Amino acid sequence: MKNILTKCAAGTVLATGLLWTSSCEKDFGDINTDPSIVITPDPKFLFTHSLNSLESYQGTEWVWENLEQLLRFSQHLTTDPYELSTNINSRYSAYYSNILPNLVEIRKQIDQKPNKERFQKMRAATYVVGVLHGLRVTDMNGSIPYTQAIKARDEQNYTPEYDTQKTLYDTWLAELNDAITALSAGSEDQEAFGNADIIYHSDWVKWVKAANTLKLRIALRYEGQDKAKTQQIYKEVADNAIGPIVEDADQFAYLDPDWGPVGGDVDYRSTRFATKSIITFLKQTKDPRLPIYFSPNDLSKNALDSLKKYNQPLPAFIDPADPQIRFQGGPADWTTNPTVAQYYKNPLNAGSNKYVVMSTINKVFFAPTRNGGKGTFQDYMITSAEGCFYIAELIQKGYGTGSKITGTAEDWYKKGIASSIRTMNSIAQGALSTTGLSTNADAEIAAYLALPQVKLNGTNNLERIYIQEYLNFMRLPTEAFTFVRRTGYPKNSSAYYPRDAFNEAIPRRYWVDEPPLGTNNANWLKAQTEQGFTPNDRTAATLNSQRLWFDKNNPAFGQGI
Amino acid sequence: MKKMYLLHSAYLLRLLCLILGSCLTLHAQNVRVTGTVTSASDNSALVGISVLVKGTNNGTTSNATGEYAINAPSGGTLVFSFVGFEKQEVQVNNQSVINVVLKEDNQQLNEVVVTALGVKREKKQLGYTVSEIAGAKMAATNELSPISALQGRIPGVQIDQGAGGLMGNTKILIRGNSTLGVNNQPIFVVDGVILDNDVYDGSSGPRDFGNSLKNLNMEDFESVSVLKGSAAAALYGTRAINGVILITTKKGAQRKGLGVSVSQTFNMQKPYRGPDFQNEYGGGTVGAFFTDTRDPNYKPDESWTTKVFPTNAQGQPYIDRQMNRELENWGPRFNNQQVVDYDGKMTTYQAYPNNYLDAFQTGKGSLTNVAIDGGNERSTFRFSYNRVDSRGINFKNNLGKNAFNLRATQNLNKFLVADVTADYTTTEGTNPPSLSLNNYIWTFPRNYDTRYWMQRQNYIGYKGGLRNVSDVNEPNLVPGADYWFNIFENNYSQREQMVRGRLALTATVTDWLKLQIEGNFNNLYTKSEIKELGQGVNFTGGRYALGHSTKQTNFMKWLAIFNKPITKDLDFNGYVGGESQQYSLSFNNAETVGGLSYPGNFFLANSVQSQKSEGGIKTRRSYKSLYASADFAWRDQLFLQTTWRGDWSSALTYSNGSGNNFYNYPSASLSWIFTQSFHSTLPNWLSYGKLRANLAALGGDIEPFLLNPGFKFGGYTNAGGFGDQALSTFSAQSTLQTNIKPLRKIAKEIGLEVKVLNNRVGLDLSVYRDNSRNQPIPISAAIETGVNSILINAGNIQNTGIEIALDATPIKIDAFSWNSTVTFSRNRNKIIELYGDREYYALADESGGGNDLIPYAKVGGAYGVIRTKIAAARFQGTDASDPRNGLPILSWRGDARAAFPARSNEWKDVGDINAKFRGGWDNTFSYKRLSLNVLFDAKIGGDMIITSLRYGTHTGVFKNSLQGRDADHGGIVFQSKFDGKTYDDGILPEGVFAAGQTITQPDGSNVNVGGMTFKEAYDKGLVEPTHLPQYNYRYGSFSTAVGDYWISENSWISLRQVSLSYQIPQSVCQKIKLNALSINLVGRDLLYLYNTLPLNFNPASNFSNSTAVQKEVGFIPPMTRALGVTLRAAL
Repeated sequence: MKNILTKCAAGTVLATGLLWTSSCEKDFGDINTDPSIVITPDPKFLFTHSLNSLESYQGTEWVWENLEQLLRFSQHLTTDPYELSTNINSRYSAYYSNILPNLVEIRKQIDQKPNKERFQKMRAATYVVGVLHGLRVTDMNGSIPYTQAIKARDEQNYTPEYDTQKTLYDTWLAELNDAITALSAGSEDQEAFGNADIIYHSDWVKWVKAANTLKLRIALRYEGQDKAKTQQIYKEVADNAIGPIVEDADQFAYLDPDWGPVGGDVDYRSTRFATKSIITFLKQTKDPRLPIYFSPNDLSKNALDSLKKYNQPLPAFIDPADPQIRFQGGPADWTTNPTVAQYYKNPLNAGSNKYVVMSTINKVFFAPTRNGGKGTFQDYMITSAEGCFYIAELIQKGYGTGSKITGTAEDWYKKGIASSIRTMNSIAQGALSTTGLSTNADAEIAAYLALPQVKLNGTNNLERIYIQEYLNFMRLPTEAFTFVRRTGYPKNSSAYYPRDAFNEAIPRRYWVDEPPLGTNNANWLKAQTEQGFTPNDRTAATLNSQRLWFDKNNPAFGQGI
Repeated sequence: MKKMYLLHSAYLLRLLCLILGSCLTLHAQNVRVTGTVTSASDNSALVGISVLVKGTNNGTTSNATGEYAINAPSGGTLVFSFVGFEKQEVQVNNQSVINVVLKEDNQQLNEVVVTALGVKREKKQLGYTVSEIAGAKMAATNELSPISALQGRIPGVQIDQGAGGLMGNTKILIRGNSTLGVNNQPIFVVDGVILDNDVYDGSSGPRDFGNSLKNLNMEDFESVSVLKGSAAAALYGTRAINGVILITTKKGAQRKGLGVSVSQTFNMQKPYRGPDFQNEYGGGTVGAFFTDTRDPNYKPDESWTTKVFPTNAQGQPYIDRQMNRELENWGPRFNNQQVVDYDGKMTTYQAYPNNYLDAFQTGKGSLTNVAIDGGNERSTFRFSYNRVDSRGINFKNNLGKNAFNLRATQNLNKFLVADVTADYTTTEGTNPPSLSLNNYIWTFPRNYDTRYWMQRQNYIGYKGGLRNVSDVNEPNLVPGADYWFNIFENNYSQREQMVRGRLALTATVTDWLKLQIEGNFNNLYTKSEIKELGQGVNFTGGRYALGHSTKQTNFMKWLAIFNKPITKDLDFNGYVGGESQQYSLSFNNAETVGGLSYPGNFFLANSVQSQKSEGGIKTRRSYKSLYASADFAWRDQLFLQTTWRGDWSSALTYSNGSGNNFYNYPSASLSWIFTQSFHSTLPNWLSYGKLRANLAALGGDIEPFLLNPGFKFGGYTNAGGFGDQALSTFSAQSTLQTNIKPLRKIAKEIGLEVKVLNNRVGLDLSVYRDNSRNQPIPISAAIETGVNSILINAGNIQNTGIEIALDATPIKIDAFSWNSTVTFSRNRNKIIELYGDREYYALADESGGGNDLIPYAKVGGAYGVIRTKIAAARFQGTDASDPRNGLPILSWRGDARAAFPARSNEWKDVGDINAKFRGGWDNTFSYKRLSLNVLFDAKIGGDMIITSLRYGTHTGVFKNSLQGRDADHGGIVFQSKFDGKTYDDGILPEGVFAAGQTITQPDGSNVNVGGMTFKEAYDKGLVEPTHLPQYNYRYGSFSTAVGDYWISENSWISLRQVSLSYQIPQSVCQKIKLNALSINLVGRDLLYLYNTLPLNFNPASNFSNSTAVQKEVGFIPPMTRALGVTLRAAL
């Protein structure tokens, strides 16, 4: 009896143990699944994430690239020089980590739906977003993976090849054409993103317009390599029933009442000042954008009196009789004119008062939330002015018009200027910054357009179009820098808008970081060498001389024709 | 399955009957034995002596007065043993009182140690290494961290102190890194309850609140076993892959009346040395060009001039405030000048050499412990209360702890014993130091008077909040005022409550079979709060955050223990068991957004914008396990132990229930007492010899949820004009290889124990090799693929090492003895293979290598090779004998007229964190009742990343920035042809100009200096010396620094502990009605006898207890020594 009981007891314990170990793994799958995660996503939420990611990374871009480098290279402003740091090119990782993966996933999710034909417009819009940012990335980086990118999860492709800029442009043109077709088709029974589309709220016509403007951006980048291709793309846009963005209401804008990416960092490391070239031109034309872009210096009436009292003369480069004495710019490259450059950091002393004589950029306009400001940073990623100027430029260059784009270069030039001024004014209003227009805006714009310095006069029409295009890009630094590389404008020693002297070597591109060792290094190296780049060479001289494909035949800075 | 369940119920009923009734008759007659245990040397009562009925697990320990009581078979044998005493066996023979006198014994031949699953074993039977340390020895250190208390004591255990302050983590590593993860620390097991040893790595913020180990109370420790080898740990499963620290807590003892023991400790920590700051120059900028915003009031012709003051409108010199930028130390030399201070008042311009130490305080602590125990033949109990009140060396860094522990045993009937533990600990930690870049490196110059500026009126703005330097009416423009604001106005706290409960039932079924059932839980409830006062006008702004987390652990275990001689010579015992474990960690955090509506009021609803909240399940995991052990002993000289364990882990299970979630691990170990076998033929001097060997396999799983990615939500955007829109994207930026398998670790070890010269000298030597293969690890992927990593099975990481413990009693004359133990360990980690042809595996975010140094595992090298992409580019000519080969290539900035080393932008190995060896030397000198302990420990080799050195070089704050700063310090005096001014801070940077480098000459022409060394170009008059400040600025700056120099060998020898204890004689004790009284003085971390870090950086500066990290990230705690006094009394 005793033995039997004992054995039973032992057996029981063993059996119990075995029982719970074998039977209770059933819930292991559930235990190992995070309840905060879903397996099948809704394209709506994915799309919002991608759209928001177009903007969310830009704080670093403004501080480390735009204000410190790109707008300085383009001479929209000037500041102490810095080498390109490892903090640049955040656009690159934003594209591959935050923007593209969701776009690809949306397409995949839609393709898996039984009623996928009802989601075709949503699907098409994803390509427009992918191209918008893709251009931003290749503009500074050249060859990048696209056709084979974002295929790790579904196709286990861990070694995407780098597409050349030409392949990228052609791929994107094809994608945009398909998107335009899909988005222009009838909207019956089509599902939409609704308000999850934080840009256009699923207004598909606007998406078509955005796609057409992107085609124009590509057309102009093609110009240095293949003018016939430029002509072809432009013709498609000019004949398209919907056309590009040429109205204020259609602009591709990120408007968030809580958004302020720059803040106090607008002065990060150094204050940004006006260049002589831009301030001179804006003053000559009494441009309404002058007080929007730049802040007045300290030389008020009282200050001038005080300086006189203390026998403190004004620097020679300042005309005491200048009615716009409050706006002063200096050399873009400080070493070219140390006499003037010293006033960037040395104010005039009048007793215990100090008067800064150089104009800084309008910090509220660029950083509305600085010092607790309540304004909003509005980002117009595609402006209507830009579209109008592209058309003006193309007509002026003889690419002609189309069935839907008609009129003269001057018509589009004026439309572009008016739109640019209104949009910049509106950004300033959103930022709670100094504006440039009063309630009589239309008359003020008309007066500006009528100025002989502004009106097309038949002698340097193209330069005038270019300069307006250039002035409009104050808030799109990548476009600004692409513009100065593409056109070589503003021109050195131009009588109309002379570029400031600049001796420092300007990098015409970024470097693409080598991927982690053991991953896609061979393809990276191949792309670098194919483009004629010295891998890992980050010196300005190299980045200046080894150019991107679209940039290969472009004029040097200031050498535009 | 249903049928089986019924069957199982029927069995269970019978089992209950069995336990409650039938077995009553199975046992021989027991008698109750009581007595006292005293020491042979001084007749003092011996506390904590193990009393065991031979051949059973029935045991107790002697109480504070040396008394014990136990029920034993009338014909049985009692075994009295304790570390450091000779074991004694006494036949019961129906005696009811047995008093025993134990002799001290250094050979510890019959030492009983606690091994896996809490099973006690004679050490001689073990085929693997177990090191045991008495709980009393741990408690005597007065450390809060049980890890720190182990430092220097045990070979093969590597301990590195951290910078985290009072409750910050200390890193522990046993026998090297065995996985490619970053937490290779051992687990802690307290009476069978497993506690994680979590890693703090900065991701939760810059403050280290310490992991849950700080809730342990060393006064409750009976003994601590360190299970180093895998064979020892094989029965703990996956989580023991890095070793086990096994803690057995004290039990009550049978005794007359109650035993009460009380101890009280007071201690203090004194910061005594910071890094070597220079004290010759104060704050000032590097120059005008090529720099951050410079104060406008330097003279226009001072663009390259340092060592000057800016002057105000009244023409008075003032100390540069360097507004809106970091502060550098290129200002004037200290000469007691009268200058305008930051607040507009006149001050004497002088160095404050102790301003760093002034930013710390003397830490103070009080540790109180009261334990009451008692018992009779049926039950015992022990209750203890422990209270800690401490303040750290960092301002407002406090810790308060209250711990209650109750352990009781109850004989439910003659064969069933219950052992119950209830433990409740509450700990509140506040304001650990911020470990990010410290103001004394980056912002405060050497003229900064800490004691003045840390006063509230000197850091608060005139309108309340933080002083705003852009407010023209603000009179006080002191830099870095936020440092004090953050310390004194903000509060960061974490309150933890740990509840631990355990119930174990042991049934003695027959004389050869015991059954054990155990259940335990350990729950940790954490509440964290952040209160930040607003820095705006009238203290507007600010933040309040409140978070809670609950970590739950449940554990069920059953065990059947067999113990039966097979033949006269062959003994057998073994067990079969099973376990079920569940872990989960849930959390919720909420915080205010956009400031506080009512400034200075800290509650969530006080949020200007909508509150932000998050929460969910961070992790959860379940294990089921079965295991078995069979041990054989032959003639008391040859011992074989075999174990097997199988685990089913939820973490290796896919959502659909499939997956390779089972793994098993066998182990075998052999111990041979060869002195026993060859007893007759061995020489006399060889007292004892044992050979041991073992082989074990371990398995491992991965972090929960990794196998089942999906899509998550990540906040909202308010863009678009229609209110908040939800954002969703992939939950993981990684993808998975299919069919992920568990890790496999194979461990081999052999060892030798020898005692010679009548046990006066002993040697314990272990040699081991571990290989971990098939690790599920995320290997990096190019981001263009859409993921940044792929989870795969790969790798073969090997640790080979040797551990030596040599103990001796060099002197033993009458009552005086000197015992000395030297430990030495060397571990060599080698990565045999990673994945395919991959040579490196990043142990931190790889993108960090673009501007910093980060750890890698390197094939052919080790876990912890430090690499960077910003090492200096080196010249390599076509001619192998070119003298320029190996020199740095120089970058040139024309506007600063400065040359400095150029970055290579290519990966390069620059260091290795692995120590060559570690050692300890533990000495105890005893004379009668007086005992002196002196402990040294040492780490030789292994590099540490010193971020402060980089930024201190940039700002010129350390002594290393003096060389070349002026003519007195070797600076070249030269007259610049550019401006005609004379400078005395010229240096000739070592290096070669890159090909094609042109330098603008004073006449405006450009000359090519490519290929020339700086010296050559200088000798030819093509370049002027570089100003030292410009050089240092670039050499340490964010965008141009080269990462070769802020990594340094971190070798040290520390006088870790000196302690003196004295047992008050029994006669005195009795007069004051005490049973025992002792006093103990302890000094810890007294000084570094050797320290290879530059500028006397503190070797205890690690910011993280991640095992991949040997790094300081901007906060170097001053070297600090601790002194303590403890009184222990037994009533």
